[in-house]
Amino acid sequence: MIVIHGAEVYNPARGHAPQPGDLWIEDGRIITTRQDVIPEQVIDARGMIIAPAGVEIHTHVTGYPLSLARRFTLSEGCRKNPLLPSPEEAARLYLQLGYTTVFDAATSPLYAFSSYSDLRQMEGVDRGTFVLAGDHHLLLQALASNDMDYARDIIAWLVSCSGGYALKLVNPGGGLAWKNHRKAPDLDEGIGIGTLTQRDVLKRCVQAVNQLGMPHPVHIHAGQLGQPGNAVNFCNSIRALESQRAHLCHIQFFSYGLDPSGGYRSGAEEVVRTLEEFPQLTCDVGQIMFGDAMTVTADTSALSRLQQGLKKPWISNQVEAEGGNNILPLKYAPKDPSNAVQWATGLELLLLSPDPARMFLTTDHPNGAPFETYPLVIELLMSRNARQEALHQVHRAARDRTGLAAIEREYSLGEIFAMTSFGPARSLGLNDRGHLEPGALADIRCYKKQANIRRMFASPEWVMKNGRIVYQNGRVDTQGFGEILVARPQWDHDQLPHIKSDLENRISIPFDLYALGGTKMENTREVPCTSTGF
Amino acid sequence: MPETYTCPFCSLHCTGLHLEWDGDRLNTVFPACHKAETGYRNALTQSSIAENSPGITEIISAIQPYLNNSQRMAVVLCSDLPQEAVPAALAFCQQHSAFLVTDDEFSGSILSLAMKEAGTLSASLGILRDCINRVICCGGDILQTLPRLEEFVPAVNAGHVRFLEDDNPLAALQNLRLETGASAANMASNLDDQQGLVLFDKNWLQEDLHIAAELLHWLADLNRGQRWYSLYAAPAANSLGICNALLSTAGCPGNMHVSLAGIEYDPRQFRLHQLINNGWVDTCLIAGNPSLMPAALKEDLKKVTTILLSPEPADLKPALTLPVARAGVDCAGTMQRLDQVPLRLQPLFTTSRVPVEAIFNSLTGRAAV
Repeated sequence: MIVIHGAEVYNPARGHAPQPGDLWIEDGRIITTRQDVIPEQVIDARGMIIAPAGVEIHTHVTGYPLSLARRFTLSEGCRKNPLLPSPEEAARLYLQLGYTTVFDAATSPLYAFSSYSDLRQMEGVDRGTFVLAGDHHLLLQALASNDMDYARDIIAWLVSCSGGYALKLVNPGGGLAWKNHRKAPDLDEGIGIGTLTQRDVLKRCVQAVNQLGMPHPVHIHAGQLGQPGNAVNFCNSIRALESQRAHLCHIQFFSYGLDPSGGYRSGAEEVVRTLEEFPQLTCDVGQIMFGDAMTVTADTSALSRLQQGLKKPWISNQVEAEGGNNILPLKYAPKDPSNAVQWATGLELLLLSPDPARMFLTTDHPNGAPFETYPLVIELLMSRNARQEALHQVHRAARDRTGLAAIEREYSLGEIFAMTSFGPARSLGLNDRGHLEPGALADIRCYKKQANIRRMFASPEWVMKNGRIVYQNGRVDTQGFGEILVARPQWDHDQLPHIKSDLENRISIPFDLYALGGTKMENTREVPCTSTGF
Repeated sequence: MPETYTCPFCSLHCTGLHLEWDGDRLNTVFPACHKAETGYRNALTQSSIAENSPGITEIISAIQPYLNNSQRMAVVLCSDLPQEAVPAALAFCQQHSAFLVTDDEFSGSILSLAMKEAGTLSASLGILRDCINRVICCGGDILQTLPRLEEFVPAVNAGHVRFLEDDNPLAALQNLRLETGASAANMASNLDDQQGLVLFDKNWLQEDLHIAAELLHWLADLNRGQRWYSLYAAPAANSLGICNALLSTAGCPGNMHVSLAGIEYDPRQFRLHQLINNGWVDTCLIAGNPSLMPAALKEDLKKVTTILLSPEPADLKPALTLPVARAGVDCAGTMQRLDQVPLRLQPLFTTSRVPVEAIFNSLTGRAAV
């Protein structure tokens, strides 16, 4: 038994205020305080802050697209690039930031084995991946014929055979449109399969996944990513979900109004107002920070448009029966009016959202910024002065075309922990983490209290995984820790011959080799598909 | 009905192969191609010899004296290895502060640097099968390298293929640029009918990057109005898989020095012939079949102590040769097809041959003790 003694304890399950008292741990889990036992170890945490470890809900650190992206960052000397750490290094860096659970946001079934190979390297953290299906021909066909039983079976099969945890939709139908030389469909436009529209895909997939009881609802990357004025379409997409449970990712990229000049202005207020009507939705922000970034996305339509505008080299790889893998290096500049508005819009979204357990901090690593910038974002959320100072160093469009300058709110520490631990864990259906209630995993971060928020969050005093300290004094011990989290929803296996015959003529490998090809995954933990929402 | 297999002998990795053999004699490969027939025939002969292959303990005992005597080592990863060998080799290099190179620097550094400069548009073979109606092969040997290509890209068979010879790639490319530039307007008017594929081999990835980058720039220009995909016709089974595995684990595709202090990447200096001729290495540990190595490099290898861990004999004279397992024949392993789709290869049978990654892991563990 271990006791963490004397700390200021933040348990987001009990609100945002700190609680005094000791934290007891046994067999890697939090237990109730014991008066009758002398613990084997007492960790003196006086002057420290204790909180549940961070839970990353949306990042890109594994899989084939990252290999493609690394080609763009090759430089003699092989300096470490914070945008593209190896999977092993990414796990270590997350631990050093106090995160013990990490979800990669996109695996194409055809390349699932590459993702799995990378996930295996991420020792030290619990990790998983979401399976792309927004352009999956088989699924779209089933949805088009409104055969919801079959669509559910396809979703469950795809997630299971790819070793995934959740279903991801990226601009549904957009990849298909690009391959056929058409523009990406708007919400109510046909996507080229029967009369199916993007609205239909969103609504029916969300419904199917919720019916399957998957721990995490559909993870949605909506349409019109990065386009000025896209907030209107995004709000319509939210309404299209018809009050069903879903997660909307990197919403900063979908929250733009249209400035009379044709450029960006913030649409954050409208988006937050719409989100407030649907309490069953969760979001992550996809904050951009100034500096180098790397666009890694399955949204070929969006990246193709961006690439044509920037006229820079990109790598695009189109995938049979699915969307694509697309890579484009970017630099966000503080003096660029568009980038300044994007930066301010992300912060505005976070600051206007009343419930930090529904709106999470991400940078859509490496799309918006490296995840190592989280401490800086947290500082901006917790300090109005820091924001004002930053606002004066960026293009004035950030002041003129967003509402950031007028926002007085400062996040409390408790709210930060709700946003980075409790909320994402709950959205992921991981009820055993993100809080410090008895029975929870002893995944804990400890900070030395100090005035410099950025420094505090950048350097935890120690980090605990399953009741053992895995990071302290700059040293990371990852060996033997962490599992690959998977979901295996139930489905009608009698449908397998249909799935096989429908898919076989679409793919260039035998059905038996598709996705993981029946490879038995190692070191996995299956999270039950018994979700009824929250 | 016999079981079906995935072929490990070229980067098309044809699946669903039916094999029949009798001892060390190959009776049938269906569908057949010259690479699969030769490859399986040799593999069966070798695995028959493999009855007496050394086990892991003997292998480690045989290698260890050479490692003890080596001051500076290079590890060469050959393109017939499965991806699983890469992390193990990297850990070994880190422990021995060794150089790590591949036998196909073109797939790795040269192609990566060209893609960094010009970008590229590619697609998996299922897409190319369905939509491509024109093919340009940059390299006369591509159909020898990829014997059953036409089954994956039917346009090759339909006569819509054009070959550019590699004796003067730059001139051929410039002519092509002029031609396509002139007809671009016509092509752009009917996009759906104009989807092409450019396949290029390693002769088009010259050392100065000029031709590779020029080729990709041309494709990028063309793609402003049309849809031209490109694929690198990798010369061996897993050239691209080794490269991608290195990019994932080390951040660079070969030409590196690996030590506890970190990884140093130098695509100009850290090439095997330079490492040998500059006297920077005294020992080369070659993992896999070095058949891709140019003759001049094989001559260079005579200047250093060479240890060869290969499934087949090679035309080298190493100080030590140890037979190892081949993925897809004696053991399982992951390889990437030329469109970089990962495929899990299953063994034909179990032999006593040891996979390369087990050797590296064992050597690393032993040194750690």
